[in-house]
Amino acid sequence: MNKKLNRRDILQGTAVALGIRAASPLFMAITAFSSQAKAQELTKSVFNTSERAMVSILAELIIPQTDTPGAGAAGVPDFIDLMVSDWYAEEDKLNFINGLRNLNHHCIISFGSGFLDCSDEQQIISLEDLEQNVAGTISDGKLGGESDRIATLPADFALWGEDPLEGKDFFNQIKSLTILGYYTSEVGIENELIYDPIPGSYDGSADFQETGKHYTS
Amino acid sequence: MANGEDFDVIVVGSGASGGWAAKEFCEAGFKVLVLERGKPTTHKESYTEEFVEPWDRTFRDQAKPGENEKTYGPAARHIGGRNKKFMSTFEEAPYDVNTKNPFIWIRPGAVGGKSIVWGRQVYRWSDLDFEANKRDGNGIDWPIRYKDIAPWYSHVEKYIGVQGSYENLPQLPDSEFQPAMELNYAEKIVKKGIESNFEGRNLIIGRSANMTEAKPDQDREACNYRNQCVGGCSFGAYYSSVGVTLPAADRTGNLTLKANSVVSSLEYDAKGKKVTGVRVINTETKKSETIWSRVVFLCASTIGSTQVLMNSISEATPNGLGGSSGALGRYLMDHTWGTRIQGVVPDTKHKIERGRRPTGIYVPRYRNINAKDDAGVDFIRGYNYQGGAAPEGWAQRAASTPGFGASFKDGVNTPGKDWVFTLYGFAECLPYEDNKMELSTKLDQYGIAQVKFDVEFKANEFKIAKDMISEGENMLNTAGLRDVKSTMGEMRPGLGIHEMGTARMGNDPSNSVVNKWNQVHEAPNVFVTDGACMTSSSCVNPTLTFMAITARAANYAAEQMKSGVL
Repeated sequence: MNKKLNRRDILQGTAVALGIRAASPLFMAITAFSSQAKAQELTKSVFNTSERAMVSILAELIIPQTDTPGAGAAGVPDFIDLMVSDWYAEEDKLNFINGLRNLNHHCIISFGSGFLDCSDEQQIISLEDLEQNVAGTISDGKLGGESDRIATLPADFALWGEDPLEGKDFFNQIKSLTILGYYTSEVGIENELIYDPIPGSYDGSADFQETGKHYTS
Repeated sequence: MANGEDFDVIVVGSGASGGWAAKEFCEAGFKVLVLERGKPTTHKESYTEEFVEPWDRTFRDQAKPGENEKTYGPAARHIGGRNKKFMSTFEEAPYDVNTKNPFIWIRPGAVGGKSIVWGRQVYRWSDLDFEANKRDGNGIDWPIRYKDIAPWYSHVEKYIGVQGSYENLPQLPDSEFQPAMELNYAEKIVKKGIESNFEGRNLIIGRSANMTEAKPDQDREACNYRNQCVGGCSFGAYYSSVGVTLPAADRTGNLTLKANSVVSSLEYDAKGKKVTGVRVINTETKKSETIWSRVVFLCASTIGSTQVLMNSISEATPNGLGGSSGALGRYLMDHTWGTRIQGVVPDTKHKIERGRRPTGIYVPRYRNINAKDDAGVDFIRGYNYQGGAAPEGWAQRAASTPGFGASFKDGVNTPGKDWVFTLYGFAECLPYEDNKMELSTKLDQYGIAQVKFDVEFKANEFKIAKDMISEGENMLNTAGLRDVKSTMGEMRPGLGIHEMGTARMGNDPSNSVVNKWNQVHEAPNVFVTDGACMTSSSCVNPTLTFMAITARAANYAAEQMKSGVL
């Protein structure tokens, strides 16, 4: 785990660099920031244990640990739980949960076991299928693949209702939530972006190459 | 107080204009009461969103779907995120929306009014604007000219701090500037492309009430380029009444500020031809009282001030105070909103911005200034563009990088595509008699008659919008931008949040509500100095003019009070 960002250090560093007077509003601001409220707690999760486990694996598949931490270490699964449970409109909530069930079912008909029991490779293939919008057909086991046997099984699809929404919508839902959760998290920001809460000056012609990273917005 | 009044001056409204009235009167030695219908705000302390880390923000700053619409009604599209806590909910400050041609009324709900959350753009009007009505016969002539207001522009600008570039353009007089903020890489390219191909057209930095130099005497720092202005700025780096003029008024010891105080109406003494009291309702206790003063300044916003006048019904003023003119509530104007022209600036993808500049660019009016440039122009008055160029950041990279996994993660941290440059058109709106507000039969929770609107843009504004689109595309294409495209949003009055008119200024009491010093013709001790007094709308952002007019009127009133006339 990387060392935590200390906001006070950043601000005081900025203040010193700018030569801000000790009695100035900036220093008052520094003393003011530390007592801010923490992000809100989840009220009640809409996920059952397996759905929640799927969310954790999917988030880490979307933004995995590389030489920097992945979605799991950045707390993204908790964030997704919060957003789907407490922020999503009912319709979106339903679509998200249907999406998890649809994906699970795709794994059963393609690989013979549910998403959680699939191999790492099969999980990746199923997510690829989801992005290609071919989840629901039988996977040929290749990335983005679709079997010639286009044998959807209506009886099985009844599991998630009359009119399952297309898989791609769900892919976009979970990908967007993972992106938002990761790149606004403390871990994600520290590792993948430049956090500059008080720039102090403006350069409208900076070179990306010099930073190699984007700034937080 | 000379005659047992509670205060020398009551200022209704604590926004950009009210703050200036309070400062000028307090500094002249008068006892001032400022009444604000919204919640209290304390500079710095109330900016509770300011230093919250991104990861600690409620739902990471994402507005919950449908919630803003439920809470803020028709104004929801301009409300959300950090400005929320300074705005009124629709329930707190309703208006009657059951009307054929609605006006979207965006209402603040805290001390500071819209000056906390405004866009901070400040531009002087010119005689092109003050003479416009006289020249083309729409509306009535302004009783003042640029020379009357110019010293007050300077007075206001020097105090609040305005950054901008000296351009020496007759249609857009320069302000008293602090050093200008910098155009960014792509904007400089577009500037060159436009200015070298179109004589008389300029692209300049958006002039704004953001400081590039500190004002230690006011306890204010220069801008730190956070671009978080709308949540309040503890550095005091932009003008809000809460951060600048109200503290100045308070330092004199002459200011009393009451929040949670809705003014319902004014008490009129027909014999003395003056207003004697201000009727106030406390929004928490619902108790009402009448407060007495020698002079009343209405700075409650364009519609708010006129609502007070309309509700000031007495035997002598059956149509409200100022109602005998027939002009009260009429000639409501707003700048058009919704025209957008975009293009991609070639060879810019290797560049990014460091720091977040709190202003954009400005293309001053060029139409109907020199007849020779206007072949084929089928409208009167003019327009400007505001906008700017921005690089792609992490969010755009993430959105346009397909797939998932390590390759996706790497894709986010690559340079974005070339920068996108955007122009938004702002057109002058003519003063139309039938664009009006009136009292509704519906009452709000305090028993005050609500207002309802009948307002629409008409042929001239739509012709201007068409020209803004076609000339915008023409300029961007000629300047070498790629993929130039335009959109026309809903041109609904109110969305520009530049509402003006409804108690217009004029010499003739039979067709105007206030005189050239902003005094209500029927009651010279009542001054209307916010957007309500505007006789035409220009195309430039109006807040600086409201502030200058307010300072001018306040200093005039102070002299009249000292000499015993008022």
